[in-house]
Amino acid sequence: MLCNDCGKNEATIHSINYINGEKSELHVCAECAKNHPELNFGFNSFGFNALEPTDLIKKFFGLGNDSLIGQIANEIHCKTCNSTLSDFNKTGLFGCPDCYDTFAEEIIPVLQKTQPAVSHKGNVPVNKEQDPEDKEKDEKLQSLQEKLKKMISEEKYEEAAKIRDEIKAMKGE
Amino acid sequence: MAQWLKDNSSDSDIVISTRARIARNVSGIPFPHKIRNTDKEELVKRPAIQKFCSNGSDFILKEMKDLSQNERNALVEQHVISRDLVGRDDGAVITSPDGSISIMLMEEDHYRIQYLTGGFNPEEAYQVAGNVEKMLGSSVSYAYNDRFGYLTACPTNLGTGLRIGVMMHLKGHVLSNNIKDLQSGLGRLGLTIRGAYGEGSTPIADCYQISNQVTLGISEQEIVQNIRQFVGRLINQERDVRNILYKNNKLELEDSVYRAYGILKNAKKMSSDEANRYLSTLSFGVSLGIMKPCRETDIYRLMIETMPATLRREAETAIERDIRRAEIIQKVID
Repeated sequence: MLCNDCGKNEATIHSINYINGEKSELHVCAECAKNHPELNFGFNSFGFNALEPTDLIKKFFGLGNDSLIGQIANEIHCKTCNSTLSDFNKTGLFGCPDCYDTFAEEIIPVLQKTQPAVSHKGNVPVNKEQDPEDKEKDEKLQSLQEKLKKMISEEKYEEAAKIRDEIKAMKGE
Repeated sequence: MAQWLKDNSSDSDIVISTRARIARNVSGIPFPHKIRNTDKEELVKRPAIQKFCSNGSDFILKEMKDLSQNERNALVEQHVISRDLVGRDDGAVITSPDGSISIMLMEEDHYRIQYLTGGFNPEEAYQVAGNVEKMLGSSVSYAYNDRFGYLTACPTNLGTGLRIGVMMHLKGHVLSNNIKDLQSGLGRLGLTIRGAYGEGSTPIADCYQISNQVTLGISEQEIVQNIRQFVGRLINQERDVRNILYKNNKLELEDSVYRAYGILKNAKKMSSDEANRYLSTLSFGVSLGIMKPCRETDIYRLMIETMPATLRREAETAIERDIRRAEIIQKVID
């Protein structure tokens, strides 16, 4: 994509803003970005202005204003802490752990823009650690899936089919 | 004070400290801004206090309500607590005797566990903070789900809840007007650069904190490796920038370093801003070998020890404090 301003250089900086539900986009080259003071705090790898993370989330929802999202979702309350999405809009904070279930649909698109993946990859609490047998099975499945991808990319379809069947059998399908 | 600042720590010409911070919450109850009073005492504070401050432990509990505003500010200046905790009368902190480990209770999350060490040590920082997190985890059940990982009040900490922050003296980047470029470069790598006291703070003495911005969909080890790799590169880049600046502006730089030394060594009174400015320049001069009246870590220690709230004594005037600041500096700088 070419720079929106000069139309010559490749746009390397992509800024997407949501204000009151309205999306605005700006795609510029590094040189032209200097003429946009609002971009001068730098950028992150996911295309948003590198504002402080809390600001980012507030801005996404048009927080601080009576945003459209807030109004629509006003009726939905978290059953545990009674928080609404409007409460989140005001503070950038959820009320309790269960809010993540209540407002999952709303928060996932934001996380997709701000985090590498919406799937936890790190440590798990000691009391939730996987059964060693399940863990071994998961690891084997993952390794088979990687092998499957490799076979397909190398166009070794017969072997790929065998691995696919093996995966199916392991999943009990 | 600031005992975690050790001499001969790694890359101490550029890096002041490395901090690992882990955010955790107790499952089944609201986060601190929504919690009931009985829950905060019984389910959040008590288990941590029992775990770390029981008989025979040398960990220290400080309740915010028992501290004056100045005492709270001094703990912020020494990086023992966050600015956020200062305003929470129901908050508390449990610290190790040297202040390197602190467990903040009732901050934005129920627990903020941190370990602070001198120099560039992301592996050690995470390992110690992680061990403390496990110890506490044997007494409380953490809020967690398989998709989002550890659940935090603000979604920006979801997943690992881990932030590793490296405090760097980036005088070379400041002098060569490279901080803004650095901000955009780091942003693309999922890292962020902030002032010395975290989110929203202004830089003091050309010191900046580089930390990971992303916490979900990335493992703790990957966060540590990213910091090791990119901050490691930045350390070398800062050294290169310093050397180039020195080569091209030898007289100017030597003049400003000797002037800073002269004022630090001879002034009869000194404000905090002035001390920071000259200490930053002197540290820059020491790292370039222009002069060596003390080590860089001595200078970092002075920066912290001469901060306003840390230095403040009851019934002392501002002038008396400025006089004492100058005296403290002169005891260290030869």
